Amino acid sequence: MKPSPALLLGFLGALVVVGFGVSLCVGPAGLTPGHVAAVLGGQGTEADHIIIVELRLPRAALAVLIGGALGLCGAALQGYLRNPLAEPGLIGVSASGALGAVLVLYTGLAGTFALALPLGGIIGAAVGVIAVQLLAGRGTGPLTLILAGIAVTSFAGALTALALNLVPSPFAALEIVFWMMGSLADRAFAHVWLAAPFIIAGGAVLATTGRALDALTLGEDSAATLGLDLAALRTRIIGGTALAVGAAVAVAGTIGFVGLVVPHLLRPLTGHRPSALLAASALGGAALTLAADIAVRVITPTGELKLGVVTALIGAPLFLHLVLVQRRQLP
Amino acid sequence: MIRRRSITALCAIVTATFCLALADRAAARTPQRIVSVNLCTDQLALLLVPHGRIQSLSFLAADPASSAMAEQARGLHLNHGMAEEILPRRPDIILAGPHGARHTIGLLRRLGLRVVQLPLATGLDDVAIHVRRIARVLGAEARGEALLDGFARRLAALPSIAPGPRLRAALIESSGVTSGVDTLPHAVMAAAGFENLAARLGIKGVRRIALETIVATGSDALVLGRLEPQYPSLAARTLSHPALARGVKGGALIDIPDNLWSCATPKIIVAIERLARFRVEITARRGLTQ
Repeated sequence: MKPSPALLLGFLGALVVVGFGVSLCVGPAGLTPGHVAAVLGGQGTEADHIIIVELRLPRAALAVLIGGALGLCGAALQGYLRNPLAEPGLIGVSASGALGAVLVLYTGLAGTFALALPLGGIIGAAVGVIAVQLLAGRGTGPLTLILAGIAVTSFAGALTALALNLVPSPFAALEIVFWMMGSLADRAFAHVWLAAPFIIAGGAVLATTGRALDALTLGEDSAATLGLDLAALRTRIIGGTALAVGAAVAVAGTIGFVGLVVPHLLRPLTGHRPSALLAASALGGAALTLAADIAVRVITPTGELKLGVVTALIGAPLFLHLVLVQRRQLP
Repeated sequence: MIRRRSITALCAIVTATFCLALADRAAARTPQRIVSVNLCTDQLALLLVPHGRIQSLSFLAADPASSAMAEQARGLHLNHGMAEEILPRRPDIILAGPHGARHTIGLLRRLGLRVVQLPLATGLDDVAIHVRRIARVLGAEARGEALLDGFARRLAALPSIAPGPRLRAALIESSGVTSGVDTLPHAVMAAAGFENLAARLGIKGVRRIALETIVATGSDALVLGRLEPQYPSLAARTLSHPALARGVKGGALIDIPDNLWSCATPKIIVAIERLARFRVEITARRGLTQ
């Protein structure tokens, strides 16, 4: 049973709106939803205003932006690589983005000009996508892709740990956890403004790939006869993913599995058409990330739990399920 | 039979006497080749004995962000708590802290070296306890007492604390953690006349605190436990969140560099004095505006 595209997008959009609202109402200060609404309407004390507007609002906005980016990138990568296991976190794009951001932040470059941080993440993510593509190629089967992804993820992770161990800061070990597990705790609007333009630009680029991805489901040769320019598609996929994931990772660390879970859940509802999956996955990713970030704050109100832990707890079982399905399909 | 027994007994007595004599001599001998592998014992050694008797200090002693005595530690051999660095210095005593290098310390002890470990400091009483302990093992009791006299005098000279409810201060340190009961920063804040928000929230030891909690509980002052000099890190960035400065009444903020209160040495008085002066300033400002 397949809902109409408009109905599906409307439902997912409503989920995002509800998640956004709940996200504004969750936190250690424990304000009631009615109170939160009043504060947003301009009432309440200055402290309440700071809590809602300067602490919770940027956090919810980042969850929407970053979750949307991860869901969209997952859908686009799965369509382009024709592989249901493709996901920014699993194939090493997030890890290499984190490495780029780490190098920029801890060398002090991010202190000299603010845009250095997202740019570092974007360059790192671009190197990651290109590396995985060179290692695995397209349509070579899930196993090669996962192996290439593990290689890139481990290598980028090791370099991140090495870089942080060479840094004089005594907090380096703690910060490795942030870059590998991700978090939205105590983010400010400065982070939103830093990441949003790149995430939106990357998302816009990926949104244009829908028809080409639909054509690609027929196979490369058929797609080429339909006039698909594969090289141009590749450039758009790499560029869009690098922009969106790189900027996301630079402000929130590595948040895994969102790009795997969301397209997988939504694919049957979109008639297995990649073009329909893109927008749905962006909304679904935003909703899932909002929900995971709410769960983080409900489980540990002071924020010790990392966001990536929750998304991994949701995503890893599904990943195992996908692996088992793939195994059954093998001859 | 009886003779053999008495010979055995005699041997035992002789051996025991010999051992006691050796132990006595070891205790009487003042260590001349001191190695320290802990930031706090590093600073105590620097305060208590001349440089000539120090063979090696931990690398943190010379790091200005961690150590209040980085200047004095310059030029001395630095170690990273590894046995391979320590043994060639032929130490006659090794000063260590409660944590870290557990395997190294076990190894050094098995090799027959004398290791003195200080427990974790949990309050200002530990200043006297730690100074006296290290002064005794280093044979610098007089110097130790002189330092403690100076510390006590400066404590007594602190601005008086008015009776009644105290001003409440929220402490946030790098990485977004705070220090509650049984920590030195808590003891410093109490001695300076502040009520520590973390203690009021029931926090014991060092724990993460959400910025939201600090803003919501409305403190009179915000103490930023920064690392100085600041290395670029996420840890340092937490403290520059705009909500922090705006979330405190009248924007009363003070920086206390982490190196001032990380160890129970008499130097901790500098942190207490700074905070006490800050409290007097806030009170005066309040008095004027009211």
